[in-house]
Amino acid sequence: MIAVYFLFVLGIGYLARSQIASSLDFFLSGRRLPAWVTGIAFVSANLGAVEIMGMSANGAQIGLSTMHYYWIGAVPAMLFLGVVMMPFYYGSKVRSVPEFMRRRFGTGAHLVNAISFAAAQVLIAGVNLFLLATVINALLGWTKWVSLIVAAAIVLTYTALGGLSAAIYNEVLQFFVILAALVPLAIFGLINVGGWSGLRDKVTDTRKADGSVTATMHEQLTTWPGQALSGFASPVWSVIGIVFGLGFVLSFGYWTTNFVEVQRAMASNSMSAARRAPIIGAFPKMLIPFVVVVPGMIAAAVIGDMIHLKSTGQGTVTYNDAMLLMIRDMLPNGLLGVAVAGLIASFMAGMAANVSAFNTVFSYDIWQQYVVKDRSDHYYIQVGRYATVAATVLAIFTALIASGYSNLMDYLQTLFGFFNAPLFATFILGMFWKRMTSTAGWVGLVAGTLSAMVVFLLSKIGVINLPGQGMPFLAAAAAFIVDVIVSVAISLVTAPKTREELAGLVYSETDVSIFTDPSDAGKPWYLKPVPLAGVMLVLVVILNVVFH
Amino acid sequence: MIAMRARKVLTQLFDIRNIVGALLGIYGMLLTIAGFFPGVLGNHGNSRAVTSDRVNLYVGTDANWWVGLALIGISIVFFGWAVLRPQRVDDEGKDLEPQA
Repeated sequence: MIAVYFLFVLGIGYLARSQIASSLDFFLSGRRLPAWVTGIAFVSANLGAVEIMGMSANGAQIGLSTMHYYWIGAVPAMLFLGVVMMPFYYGSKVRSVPEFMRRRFGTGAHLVNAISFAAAQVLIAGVNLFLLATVINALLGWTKWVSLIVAAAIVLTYTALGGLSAAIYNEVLQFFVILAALVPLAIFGLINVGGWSGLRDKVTDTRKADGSVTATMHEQLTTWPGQALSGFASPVWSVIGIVFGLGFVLSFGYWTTNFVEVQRAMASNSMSAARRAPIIGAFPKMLIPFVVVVPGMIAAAVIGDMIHLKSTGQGTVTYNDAMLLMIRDMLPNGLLGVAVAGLIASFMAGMAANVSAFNTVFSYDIWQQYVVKDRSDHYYIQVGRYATVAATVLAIFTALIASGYSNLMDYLQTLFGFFNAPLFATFILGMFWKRMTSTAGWVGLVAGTLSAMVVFLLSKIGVINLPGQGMPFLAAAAAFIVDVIVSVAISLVTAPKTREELAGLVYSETDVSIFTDPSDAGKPWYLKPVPLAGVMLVLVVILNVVFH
Repeated sequence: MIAMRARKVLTQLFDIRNIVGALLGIYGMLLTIAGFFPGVLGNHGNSRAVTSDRVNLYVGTDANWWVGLALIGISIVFFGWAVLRPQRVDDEGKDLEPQA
């Protein structure tokens, strides 16, 4: 089964290659994909190893509070991207998020953004690759070295051959294979455990090694106020922290400025399709926790090794193993094959997404902008292919480092997470306030990032004590506020850009017609971005209410 | 013209919906066979129960054909969608979104 899957994956890479005539074909699929394809790819690009392992681990550890990552975090942010921000990205015809940065704020902010983004992608691709090799090693018994190189070689082959089209088509395929693996796990798991009420009865307190309770049974079965998630002692502050920190700043920052995601929507074939891509993606996104978080909760309620870990805080397994333990204990040969193919698919999706975003930013924003300008279009496709090879080789080395120092990698990932929150503040100010200047752009970014790091360091040395996962929320909120204050202050004392330079980049200087697509007229509601987003918003509110 | 038509057939054959349908269909058939003839993969009944678990989670080999048939159903939906709303190819050979 895994062999059949690999054949399909490489076949797509080969087929997509025949469609490449210009660099826009290679890096943005020639902007010609339909909305449902880019919408699914949008979700699938994020459905990597970190997501599936991490969120099922959260489900095992803190239960339903994990849903906030989806219903307060991701979904509203995706709708916001589609409704408010996509018209600027797609309408200004920029080819990447850093390029938007350069047009709005000049090269200072651009260089900071492009380099930090490229570095983060290589790092995250490495972490995905490392987890992929771990899973192949655990389930198929290949040595880590062999698994690492085989996995990297496959991702490299199809992204280098077919560019973004191959990555996106494979993400769509991967999405369905992942679901074919996860949906039976959730459904049969719930049946065996005695349904939802059977699961509720079996959930136990989560304890640390010293016996203190970090998430009570009650906290694991309700989403609000989510103190097990945020770690705040006061329920009111916990709600504020989740809504503002996780929801508004962290998730909006991630989903609206991360080029890995935005690139998929940019590959759409029209303004309307580009705006609908994240909105269509929001629908699977709000249902994914049922097949990721719920199996994690079942594992924690039923599987012996996991119960031992939960009640004593130590044991031979970790929370990250929740999904693997479910697969091991539940599935017969046959379905086991589908599950392994699904996990491998998910990890390759994550890594390919990072690599394809990296090669675009590297080729357009670093190489073409600062190193070798004004060469033929064909030249930059070649640069893109070499960048893909380089990224993969670097990812293998990152994966090797990750296998040695897992804590170091955690810190570095947190560190790169700090770049997203101030980015969002800078973008949103820059899009809606024409007075904001270029200097304010890069100074605000640097100040915001530094303040996030200060919060992180304070929590490390114990000045701020948050036992849950609330530290990143607080850091993000601090970064956002500092970025806004600094940007406003500096804008007022430096010279703004002229109106002509801001057309299409700032709301007040942009023709409102970009918010409407003439081909939309007369179409049913589900083909128009704004009404579709309204329906998704209602659905996510209903989910939030039902599982409060 | 012949080249155009060949390209058109190729584009429709390798429509992503057909690719997804084909892969899920193959998985579905393999699982259905494994479900009805468990001996093929060396499965036997319900013996895999993990003793330290509070509930026996092992789903048994019948789960194979349940999921198998469901996947075959989904693959038929994908093939059907691709047939009913074919991708159109315009003069420049760009793929257009199927119109509603």
